[in-house]
Amino acid sequence: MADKLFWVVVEYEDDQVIEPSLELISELYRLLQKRRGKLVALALKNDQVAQTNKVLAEHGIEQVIYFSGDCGKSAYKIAANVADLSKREKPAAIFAAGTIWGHDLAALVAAKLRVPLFPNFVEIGFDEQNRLVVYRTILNNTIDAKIIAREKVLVATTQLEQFNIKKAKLPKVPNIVEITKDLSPLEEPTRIITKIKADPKTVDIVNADILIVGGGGMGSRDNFQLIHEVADLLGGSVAGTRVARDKGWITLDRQIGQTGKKVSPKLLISCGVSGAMQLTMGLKGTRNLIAINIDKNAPIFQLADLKIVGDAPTILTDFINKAKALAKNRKEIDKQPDQ
Amino acid sequence: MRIIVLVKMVTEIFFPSYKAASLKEIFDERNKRKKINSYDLAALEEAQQIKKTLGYGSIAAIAVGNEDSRKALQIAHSMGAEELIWINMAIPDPNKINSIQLARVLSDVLKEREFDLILCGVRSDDMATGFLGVALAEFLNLPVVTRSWHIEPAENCSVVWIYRHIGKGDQEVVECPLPSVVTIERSREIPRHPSMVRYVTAKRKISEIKYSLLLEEDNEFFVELSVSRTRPKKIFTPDDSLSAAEKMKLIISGGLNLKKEAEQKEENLSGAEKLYKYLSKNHFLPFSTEKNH
Repeated sequence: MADKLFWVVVEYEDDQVIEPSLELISELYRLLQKRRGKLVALALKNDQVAQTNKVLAEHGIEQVIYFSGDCGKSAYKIAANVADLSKREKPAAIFAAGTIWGHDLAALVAAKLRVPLFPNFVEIGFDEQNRLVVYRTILNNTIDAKIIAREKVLVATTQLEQFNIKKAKLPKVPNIVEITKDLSPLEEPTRIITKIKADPKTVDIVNADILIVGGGGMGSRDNFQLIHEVADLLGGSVAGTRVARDKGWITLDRQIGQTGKKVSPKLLISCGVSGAMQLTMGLKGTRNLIAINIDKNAPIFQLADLKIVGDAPTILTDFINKAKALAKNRKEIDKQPDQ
Repeated sequence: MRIIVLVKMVTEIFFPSYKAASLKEIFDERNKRKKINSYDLAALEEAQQIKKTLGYGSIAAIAVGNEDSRKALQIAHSMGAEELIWINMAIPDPNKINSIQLARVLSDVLKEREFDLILCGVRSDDMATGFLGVALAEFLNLPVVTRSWHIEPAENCSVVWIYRHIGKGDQEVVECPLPSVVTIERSREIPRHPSMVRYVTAKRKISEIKYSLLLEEDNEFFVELSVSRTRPKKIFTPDDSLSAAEKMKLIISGGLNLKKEAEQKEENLSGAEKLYKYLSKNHFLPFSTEKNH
């Protein structure tokens, strides 16, 4: 077994390395900083290889092994490749993020290697004898289980939201290896028939891709209804600030911020929200932020990708009318025969 | 359809770890109780639903372990399982046993039997490894589908269609050939009320398989238990490479990077038009006047 050779199976969302994978890499880099170890990422080859290499290198990855064979995003096929490769390279440990896909993949790898899986570890380190130690909590978080792999490879996943993402102090240019042919050309026994997207009206706001957020600037419960209309038009979910919840416009499960939930949507439209720190700490993962506020000095504007100064209910009403007219137009164009 | 459901008893602790001085205190008989794994109950209910859909079928429940496991089988019987199999074996410390060892034992027993579907809870309430189903499928060389909340069998029982969670509230439907292993989430139907009569009569129905292998602590993986200590969750800290002023700005903004002032090229646009244009440009509008975009 190669001492202190750690593998991390990287997960993507929209061709970008997901935060839990970076949390895991950052923690392992921290661990290996004062020891001579090697951190290797295993990833699927995608269209954004240069960007992926840059992100992985920034967080301390020294080598990236890409699978560009016929494995798709199938955890089954990737696990077979990882397991086969690990029999050859003999890493000390194989890690994945504690997401659904990550857990499935790690479980399949562990099963193929005939070793136990240690999911959701909350702490990692080395003991006095310089052996890798992971801790996980069991029995309803009352007991810590300290696990040391003596001879075989350790397969583990992280607890989500447990470790900080930190960039490496001395990043290196990663060595790139590409495996073009599946090591285990297996036929996947199962077949995906269809995928069902979550209903934006009922989905947890933590998981929503599009969020329309209303604050005290919406003025009244009737005006807040406009937030629901925009959400319907864009296929998004409704959320609100602490003020909106205090006024009874939303329920606690739809509140963002320090006393609510932390969200990471692809698009967030804040309407009548000033942008106090207590709220913005819940918006950290937002990719596109549009702010509508009547106060041109509102702090939210410093964070927004698009700043619209004006009365939020008026702007939303105009937008709804315009969007509805265009949607109607679109239907009419659709009805016309193709030329 | 011959369905096998794996059931187990789990330990539930009532004592908060921050009050505990030692493990002995946590494992005191007054502070814990045994109950059937809630995910296994969901698996039992799913088995019943499949049987109801097809109008025929049999359900066998299997439990591994000491005398306590018999109770899981009694509950399984009271909830509709017809056949009860107890793999009687000594497990010195159930909290240190890993799923790969249990999967090996179960596969040894199941290799001898005929079945179409093996159901088990996606994880156990106590250890929560979520690994047994996958490991068992690997030992038996069967397909496995995890996190199912609903199973629809084909009329000829050649395949099943499995609805499973894939995160962020999304789901997928997977076609899986039989025989196979499926792990069940507890989010569909509330398990039915157990029948008291069937619970009592179950004891006579349990068939015992004595397994001589003593599951001892795995020498390859050392596991040591201690009272859990509180750990900080992920906390936001700005990057070391930033200046003190930038770090402070980041802290004040709650971790969001401040955006540079964008040039306002189209001053004459109204707020609604700006909003529409931005959404359209970034492909967030589900409708557009352009056809076949």
